[in-house]
Amino acid sequence: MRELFDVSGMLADRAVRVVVTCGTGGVGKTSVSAALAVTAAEAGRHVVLVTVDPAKRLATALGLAGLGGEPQPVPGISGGSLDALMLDMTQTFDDAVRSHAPRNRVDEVLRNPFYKALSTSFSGTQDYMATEKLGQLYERSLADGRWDLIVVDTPPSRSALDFLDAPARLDRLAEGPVLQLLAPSRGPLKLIGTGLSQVTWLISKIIGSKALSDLQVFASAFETVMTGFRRRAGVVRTLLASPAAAFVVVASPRKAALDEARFFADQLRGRRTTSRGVVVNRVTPPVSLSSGDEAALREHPEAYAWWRGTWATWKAQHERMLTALPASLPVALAAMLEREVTDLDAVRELGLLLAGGVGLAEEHGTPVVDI
Amino acid sequence: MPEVAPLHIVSGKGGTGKTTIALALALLLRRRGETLVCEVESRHGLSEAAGVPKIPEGDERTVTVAGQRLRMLSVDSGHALRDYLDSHVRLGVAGTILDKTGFVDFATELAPGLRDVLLTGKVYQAARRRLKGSADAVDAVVMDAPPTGRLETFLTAGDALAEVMTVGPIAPQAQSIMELLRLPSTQVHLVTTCSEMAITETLEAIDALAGHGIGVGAIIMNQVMADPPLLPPGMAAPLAEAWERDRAVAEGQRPWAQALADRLTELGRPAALTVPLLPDEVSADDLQTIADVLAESWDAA
Repeated sequence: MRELFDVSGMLADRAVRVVVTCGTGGVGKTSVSAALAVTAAEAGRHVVLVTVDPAKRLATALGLAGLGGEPQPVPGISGGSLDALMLDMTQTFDDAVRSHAPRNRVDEVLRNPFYKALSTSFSGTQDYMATEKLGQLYERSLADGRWDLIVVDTPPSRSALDFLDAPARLDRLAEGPVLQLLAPSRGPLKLIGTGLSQVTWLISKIIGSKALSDLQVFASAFETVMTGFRRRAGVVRTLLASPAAAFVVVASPRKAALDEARFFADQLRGRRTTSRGVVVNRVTPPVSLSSGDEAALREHPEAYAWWRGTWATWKAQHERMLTALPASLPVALAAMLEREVTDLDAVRELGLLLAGGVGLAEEHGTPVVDI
Repeated sequence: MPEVAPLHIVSGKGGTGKTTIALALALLLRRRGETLVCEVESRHGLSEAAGVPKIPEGDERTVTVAGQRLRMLSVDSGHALRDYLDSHVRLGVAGTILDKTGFVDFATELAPGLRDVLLTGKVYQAARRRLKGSADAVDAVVMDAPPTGRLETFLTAGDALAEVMTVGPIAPQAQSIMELLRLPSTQVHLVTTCSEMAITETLEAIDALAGHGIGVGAIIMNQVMADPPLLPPGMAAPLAEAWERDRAVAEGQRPWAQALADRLTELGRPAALTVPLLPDEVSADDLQTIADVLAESWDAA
């Protein structure tokens, strides 16, 4: 028996203030995040859930049908309380510019084509804005005590690491030589006169002089915005490295998702943070038959072949999980549900599976229930 | 332009199996001629799905997938920009200055649309090899494109870039890439599953692409669960529950399949192709099976 990932223990632990779910696309990360938030709230905690791009019916169930950029109470929760909000990348970025940039430059920044590219399509922005939002919510929870647990669903990405790396990537961009060269206020680099003019000449030759002047405006204005961002990113970095933060890796029983989960768990350890465990979602549960039932089923070749198929699927999934997941990583299994997770009842059902304590046994007979 | 190889762009919501379908389509097209399949900054997803060694970023290799030889290209924006600067701007040593200042990283990250245009540009070159008389010319190009959530931005990046960079050497290239994407021989194939989000995204993508004058090819409904065969009466609860789960999943898919079918009829488009849910992880042999399934109705769609 692999160590069981004690999901309900984690949610009950008052020292845990932030739960971050990570995983690649297509594993049900948004549903798992909602299930963790609802389960914690109904166990008495005061929870805020930051969700990214939920299905329309799930968004409706969470009370986010309209504009969901601000925390909204989720109806129908008993015990504690649950607020939910949707991450709007461009809106969060625009708000940050409004609060961090000098007032007379705000419009100039918001209209700049390089800013628009950064706020709408830069691959790290969504992750960065999730960090920014987490920082805002954490500071607010410290100030008014409205929430004692923040659940963050990280944006879909090629790698679960993108969320953790986003602040560093934006820092590198801002600190990179190009912006430093182009921002006129930067001191020491201004002295390299010939180097500077040669570089700007080259850049203008490639992108044209209009784009170059847009870039210069962006570079100088962006410096001030970055200062505000960095302060909050620092708060979040400290929070995520503390015992108050729990990372939950979400995977499916597919090889690519399991490999990504292992990679991510390894990377977390290297960054002085640790994952509490991995949730393997949408597992095909094994169905063993009595010898009498098996004999009876054999008389019906199609039905028998179907049963053999589900058994073979479970066996293959079980072997993949044992191979791909390191023995030190606690595991919780959640069986495939009958329906899409699009209403509160289905969210609760998934929550029960997660908290129910189904672990990964070394033998492929049946998963172990350990409560 | 008969010399330009048809370009098949495969997209879909994350988790719907678009890489699998892109590979199966490449195997199908390979039965008719030389085929190149490319991934754009997807971190070896294509080579992993094909079960072949990783293709280094920026490289092209000949690989054998399920007994067929395919060309496989991994496109990366940093390499593409350096190649572009070398061949079009003729910077010579000045180019290394740009590299040292971090311009290449910066430009591919931040210049609006530049990264996407560079990626498509590489695929564009591959489709035009016959025109250029290259020995490595191909008859069809399949692109494992970004997921539908990012597809519109990705494919129209050339327009966005041309707005920012009105002068300079990049703008005309961005324009010619947009022309390639609007050729009748360029088609976007959309992979979906029978779930609310995937079908919604697919229908939105069809509308968005039509609005940009980019042709939509086949709609592929993937991972479709069949109804389980009837069980004899009196089976123990766990088996009956597993049966009920499969039945419920199959039933839950039906309204979404119907919604898609209705909308395709409304649009006067051919019906979606159906690829059944395979019992487990897709193997190289399964790719041939999927190619066979696609072959049955590909030309009609």
